[in-house]
Amino acid sequence: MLRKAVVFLVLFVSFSLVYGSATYYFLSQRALQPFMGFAVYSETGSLSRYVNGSSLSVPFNQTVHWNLQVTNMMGSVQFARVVARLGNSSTTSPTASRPGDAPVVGVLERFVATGATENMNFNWTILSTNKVGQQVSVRLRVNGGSPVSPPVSASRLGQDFRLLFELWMYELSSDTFQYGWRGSSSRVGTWLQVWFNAP
Amino acid sequence: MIPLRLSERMLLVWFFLLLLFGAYQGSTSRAQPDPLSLAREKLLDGFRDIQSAESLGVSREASNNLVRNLNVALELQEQANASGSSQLAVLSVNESTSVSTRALSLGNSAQLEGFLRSAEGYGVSIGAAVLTALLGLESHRLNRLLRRVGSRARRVAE
Repeated sequence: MLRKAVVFLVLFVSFSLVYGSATYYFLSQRALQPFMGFAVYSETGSLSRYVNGSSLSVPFNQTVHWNLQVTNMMGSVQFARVVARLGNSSTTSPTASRPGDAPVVGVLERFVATGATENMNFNWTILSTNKVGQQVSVRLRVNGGSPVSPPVSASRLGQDFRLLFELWMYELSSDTFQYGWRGSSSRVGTWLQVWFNAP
Repeated sequence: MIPLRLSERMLLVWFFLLLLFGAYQGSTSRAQPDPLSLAREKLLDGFRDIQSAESLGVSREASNNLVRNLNVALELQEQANASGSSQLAVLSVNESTSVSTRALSLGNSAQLEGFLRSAEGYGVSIGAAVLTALLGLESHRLNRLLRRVGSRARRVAE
């Protein structure tokens, strides 16, 4: 009888371990590689033809419609901020660890649900240009806001301007927006740029 | 005790009233931040509450709905900031507060559901372990029973 009880106990403990492990596997959340997707699409919804025409020249007072998309694969809701800067060919570009230092022309914010993609409209217009010698600076309006005149000029008669877009995420631990997103081992800075010419 | 003159009494009463008024003003004016900064604060509270509700196991669909409403509050807050309208800021505060309340309630339900699901899962696995252990222990009886059934079936066939 005692032998039978011991055998039952050994079998019961063994099967409990096996079934318990299986239950733990089915109940636990799947591991995922966290990342944020970031893209800028043209008016046609493609990754090309950002500016109509072949010269990349943006005409005066013609609003250019772009669509910024932020995808959240971080496993929890995120508060995303896109910082738009105006630069030229000599502007220091952002890196994977450091944001750029070009003047900010627009800021867009959106909460992005887990596994979802949020669209942000980025509509901008060149209101006027200011030419001093060979240098050209522009006056812009972004998303119907107040006009801005960033202290950036381009040489060769308004060629080689660029709009830089940086992705910043709100960190609850510091209660501030931080450049990039928190990867599995370190922060990952994400940025995009589109070149254009002033008229 | 030295009797006070009327003017001294009046001065004391005046001083007492001033103290009372000061205390009342202090408590009310400090408790009310301006609607624009309150709207931002409530948005972040809503964000925090959705994140904690998600960590408690709220479904993806429910969380997406909350985020959609929080984005409405964000848009209202942006419009309030651009126009300086307190009315829009108050609307944003209301929307964010409603999101927070729902997130907390959904989080609590999800936590309870998660606990019940775990209890059910582990309960079933223990029950299955008992049954399998018994089956292993009494396998010889089961074999004998199967053999008997088999031979009876063979006899019937003959």
